[in-house]
Amino acid sequence: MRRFWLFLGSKKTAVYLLFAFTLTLALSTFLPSRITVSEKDWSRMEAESPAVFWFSEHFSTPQVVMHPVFVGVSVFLFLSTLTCTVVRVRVWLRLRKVEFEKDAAVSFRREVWCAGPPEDVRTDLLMRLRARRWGAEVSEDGPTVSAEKGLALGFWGSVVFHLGMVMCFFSAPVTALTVHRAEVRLTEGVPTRYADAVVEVEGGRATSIDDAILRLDDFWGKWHEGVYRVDFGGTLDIGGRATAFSVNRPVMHGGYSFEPRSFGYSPHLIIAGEKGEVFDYNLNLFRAKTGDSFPFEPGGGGEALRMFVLFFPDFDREGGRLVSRSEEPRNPVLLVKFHRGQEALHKGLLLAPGEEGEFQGYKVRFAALDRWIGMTVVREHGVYFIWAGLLLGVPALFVRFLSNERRLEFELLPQSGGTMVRLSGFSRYYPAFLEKEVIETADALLAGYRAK
Amino acid sequence: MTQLEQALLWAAIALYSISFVLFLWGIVFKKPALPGYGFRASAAAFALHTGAIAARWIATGHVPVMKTYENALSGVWFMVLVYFIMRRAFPLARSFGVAVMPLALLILGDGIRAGAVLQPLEPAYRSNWLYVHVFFAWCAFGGYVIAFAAGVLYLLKDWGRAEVFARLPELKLLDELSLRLILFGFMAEAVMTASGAIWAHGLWGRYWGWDPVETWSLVSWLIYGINIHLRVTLGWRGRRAAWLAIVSLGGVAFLYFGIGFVSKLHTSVF
Repeated sequence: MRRFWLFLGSKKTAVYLLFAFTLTLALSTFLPSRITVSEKDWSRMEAESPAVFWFSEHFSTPQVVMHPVFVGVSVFLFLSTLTCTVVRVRVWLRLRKVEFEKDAAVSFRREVWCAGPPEDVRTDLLMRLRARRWGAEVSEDGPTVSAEKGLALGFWGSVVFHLGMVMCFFSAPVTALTVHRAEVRLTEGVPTRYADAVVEVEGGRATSIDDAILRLDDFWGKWHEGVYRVDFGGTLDIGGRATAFSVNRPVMHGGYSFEPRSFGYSPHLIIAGEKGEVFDYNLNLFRAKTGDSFPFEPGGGGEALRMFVLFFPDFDREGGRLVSRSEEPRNPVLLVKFHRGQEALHKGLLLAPGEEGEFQGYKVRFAALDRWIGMTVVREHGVYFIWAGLLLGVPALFVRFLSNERRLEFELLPQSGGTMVRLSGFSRYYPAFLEKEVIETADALLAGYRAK
Repeated sequence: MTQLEQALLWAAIALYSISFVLFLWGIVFKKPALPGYGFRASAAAFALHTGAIAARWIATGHVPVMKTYENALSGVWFMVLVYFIMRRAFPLARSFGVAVMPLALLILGDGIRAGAVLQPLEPAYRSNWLYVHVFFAWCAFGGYVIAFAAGVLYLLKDWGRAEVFARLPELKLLDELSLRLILFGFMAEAVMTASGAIWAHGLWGRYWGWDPVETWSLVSWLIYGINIHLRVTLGWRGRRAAWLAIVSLGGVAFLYFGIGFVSKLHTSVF
């Protein structure tokens, strides 16, 4: 057990684990995954390159991070980090100092001879070191004077940074256990129960808001030169409480965050026959440039037709072609065509909002141009561990690296009627600058002693 | 890009090139005055470069942070700024210009090749986290690139027998500056990654999605983390440390140049 504890607390172990973790992640990114490749290309890869597909299905990044071996390495890394940190704190609590000698700190040496007995040289050195604000002390057996500067902050900076990393590790299991993440789709002006609006869900159910009624109102979108979508938003009413939202400004409700992800057009189409309305729906359009297709069964069980719908936000004609001059709805027009199988039943109706056309005795009215919006609804608690880890880790990292921990040791040995002073300098990070400082300090100290 | 931006940028590129030639000529042919002129040329180039960024900012209405060209434009500006600051703090590091200038030219060239279409800021970028995330990304990038330059100069001085290499800064100084720059970059990249995760949580509902850019940001940070552990904990110094500084940049270079080809997910929105 002790061996295992030592193995886990070893810094070499930590470096090897870190290396394995990093290498695995790096290699996994070279494989295509469902994140980087469309559904269509994924299926094509399965059919055309089964070997690549097999590797990607098992070892691409989203897969490899859930693989038991990788999770095992991650857990080991977490334990190693925690153990190293605990061991360092225990050593500090026992000794109340950081043992430079035991770390691979940089050191260099220099020798100088002083005329004078070791006791006098020692007394003078202590006085001069303390005057320069070094924490100086004499070793128990006498011949060594040691002095330190910049220790405590740097050590604790390192400890707190690693504790911050340990906190970040906790975020993954907490997220896995607590997450509810859903994609919902809402149509402007149409009240929808939350559970009915969900199109995809990850994690547990959102029981506290399943029955909440959502309604999207006052949608707005901004375009740049009619081409680029620069922002969009609206008002989301949840159970009677309306809140404005836009990209980067989500709605918070009951611990859930409603974040807008996408939007599209949703023309409200009403089709009425002799016996009354047979179709009254918002058509959420997803294929703006190529058109969407919807079933149309006016007879309610009779022959099925299909309705092909193409929306032009800024309608124009170029010769015989129907085009849209921009993405912004400056002159919205809807093209509606009816098909039976592959056969088009007529040339199509071009309707602006409020206009009506006729098809085989049916009146087809484009009642209003609404929008649909896609939102991500999230609640999970792992992000708080990320926040905690970062608030601890980042400032601690700054403290650790900005503190210039260094130690001087003067070994005083009687020699040739005087004292041979063997000076050693230890610095964790800045050896070249420490060497310069030490040489100047030593020269000043020893010149001062000689001048007495 | 606009005509003004084009003129300023090409003038800056010309002066960066002249600066590089002056640094190199001064070192190779032992002309002590030339690196001084090289610095003045780089300072003038930096001023014009700043003007190019300002022109683009005015034309697009946003700080240049989107897509390859704008990242190159701003990233190189930060890299040169880090070089100027380091040069001021450590006068012995003046000759780093011979490595920094060609890197600046390469990165700017790649950015121009990618295309400089004027575009407004996309919805996902309209967040205060943008400034934090991108600022620290550039600081990290600048630190790592100059650490790479220190590593290269170390090896040249260590291996080279010709007199020209003797004029490069001391090995100990190069080794230590490389470490300091890596530490600076590591701290900055920690803030970059952290702020990116928090931004992603507010934007996409998840703080980490393992998309290639996020994964390679973590990988490059861990590469430098291993770098620091090897140097500080296991005592790697000198030639080994120089090679570490050179090889570690590979991770950042792949993140910057390579991963964009693999996935547009990180930057394509709405």
